[in-house]
Amino acid sequence: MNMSMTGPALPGVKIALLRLRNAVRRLVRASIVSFAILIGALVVSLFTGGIGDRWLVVTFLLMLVSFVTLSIFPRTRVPGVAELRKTPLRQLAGQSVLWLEAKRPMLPAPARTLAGRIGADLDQLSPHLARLDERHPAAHEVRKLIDEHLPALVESYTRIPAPLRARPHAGSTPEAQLVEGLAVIAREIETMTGEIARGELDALATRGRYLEMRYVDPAGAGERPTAE
Amino acid sequence: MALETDHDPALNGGLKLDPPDPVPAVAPERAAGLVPVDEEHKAKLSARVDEFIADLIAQDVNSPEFGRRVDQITNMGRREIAEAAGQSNRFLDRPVRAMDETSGVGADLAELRRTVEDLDPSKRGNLLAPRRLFGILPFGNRLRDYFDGYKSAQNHIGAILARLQGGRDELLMDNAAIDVERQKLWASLGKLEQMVYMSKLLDERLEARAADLDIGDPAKARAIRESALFYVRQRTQDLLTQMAVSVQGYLALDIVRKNNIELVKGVDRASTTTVGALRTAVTVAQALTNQKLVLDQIGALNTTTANIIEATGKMMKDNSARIHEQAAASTIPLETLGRAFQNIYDTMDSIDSFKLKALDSMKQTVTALEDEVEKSRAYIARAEGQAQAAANPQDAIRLEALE
Repeated sequence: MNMSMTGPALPGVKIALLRLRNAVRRLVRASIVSFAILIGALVVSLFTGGIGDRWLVVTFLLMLVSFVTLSIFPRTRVPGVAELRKTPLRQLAGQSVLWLEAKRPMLPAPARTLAGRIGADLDQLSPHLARLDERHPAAHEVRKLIDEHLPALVESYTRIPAPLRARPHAGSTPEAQLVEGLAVIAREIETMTGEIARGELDALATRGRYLEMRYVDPAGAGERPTAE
Repeated sequence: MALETDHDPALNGGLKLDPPDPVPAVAPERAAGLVPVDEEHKAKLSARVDEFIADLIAQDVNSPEFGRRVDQITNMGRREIAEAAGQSNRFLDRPVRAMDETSGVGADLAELRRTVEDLDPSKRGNLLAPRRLFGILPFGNRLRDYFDGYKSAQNHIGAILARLQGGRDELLMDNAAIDVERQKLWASLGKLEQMVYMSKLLDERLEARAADLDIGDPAKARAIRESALFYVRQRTQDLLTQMAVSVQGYLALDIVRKNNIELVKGVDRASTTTVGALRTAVTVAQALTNQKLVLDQIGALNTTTANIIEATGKMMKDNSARIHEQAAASTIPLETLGRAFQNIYDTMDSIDSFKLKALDSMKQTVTALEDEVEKSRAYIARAEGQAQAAANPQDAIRLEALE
């Protein structure tokens, strides 16, 4: 019944979109500021009867510097764990993807693949989360998994000094333990996506059955046996 | 040769609505076997069990690896049980909406009855007696006034009947939801059945292996009996308990479904008899007072109700022909009208007595199911506790049902 989500690890469509949106926003802001400087210089020259070559150069330099600065800063902000907890459910998936993406370089190779998969799954989950009531039991579970268990697992791995990460401890290596934990989380997210989609799946199936009973088979009014 | 409205069996065969019998408690040992496991799945599950046992025996009894394998047994079927439990609990959440007196179909039927009673010719005294002012002077016509009452009531009746159709659709929607629910419950019963099959097989084979090991490696034989086999038996019991609850929930849902079907029949019949009475009134008015009683609503209602019972239209046509034939004898059409009203009352009465019996049956079912759910909750809690103790995603041999 779970929706199959085990496609190839997408590079996180959502995160790409998020970054693109931020970049566009910065570019727009930078253009507006440069344009304002240009207009200002024109107005000044209008009132003072023209500005000198030197001031023209200064104006252009100012425009260039502000454009470059504003199109680089502020960087796309990566939320901290504490912030994740306060994020409303509709943005939770997007924010956690950002967080996970930032942590990815610190993870061992197999864990990186898994992190990619979790990111892709979260991407798919996010539109459904937006429609989910915050008090729904599934919402509670999702929140716990994404903003508590996932960061706790990754952080407790990154706290281990690098040389010790590959050395066996308590039956296996920390790296293997991390990978195992991430695999569990990936599977749980998949299950939850199915859980959340179940209501919608049921609604559609019910609607179809109703139409059948109401119009195709009105005399029987649902006398037909179901699964037997 | 009296006029017979109660002539057509389709309309007057006596509406009999049968409330389904309550679902008895299902004993765990009788719960298994409802959904048979097919041979192909049996073979696969059997291979899985063999693989698991071979793997378990290969471990050192005192190693943590052995403990992990045993933990897997305690986890066996956790998902299946949790899933099935969620579904059978949902039955208890399902409101018995149609049975409610204060809203929905129940309220509409009660209102219909009150409205219709106001129009009943038998409650109006002798309609054929001439009306006199101060008891002396002839003044007006009782019958004419009586039929005028229909004109004012028709909008109200029309609205109630439209609401009843809405309620009927809701009942059908409920049944559609129940069908979907039952299909899902059936699927999870199938999974539980696989798990029961697997755990029984595990029990049997572990027992055999322990007997083999008795001579060669008595320590291992004892460990297998005391830990692995013990948990296998515990899980078998848990699975069977959940199975019993699910089977009971499955049967209970069927009761709700059947109740709804009966109620839909009742609503259909109530609508048809009401429209029938109105139609009869139109014909009688024509015959007795030569008054053309125009009930536009009926035209509209006819199209709605004609779909319900095809015989209605035909019966109505025959009836009006007969009423016209008998128009000479003026008391007979009124009798016919009276009988048409009696039809409505009979329908309503049978719905009422059906509801009483059905409610009783529902109550028994819900009580029985609640008891079982309560019992199974203890098992689920235990299963949850163990699940938190061990979660090994990478284990090669998963003790799970097949998709």
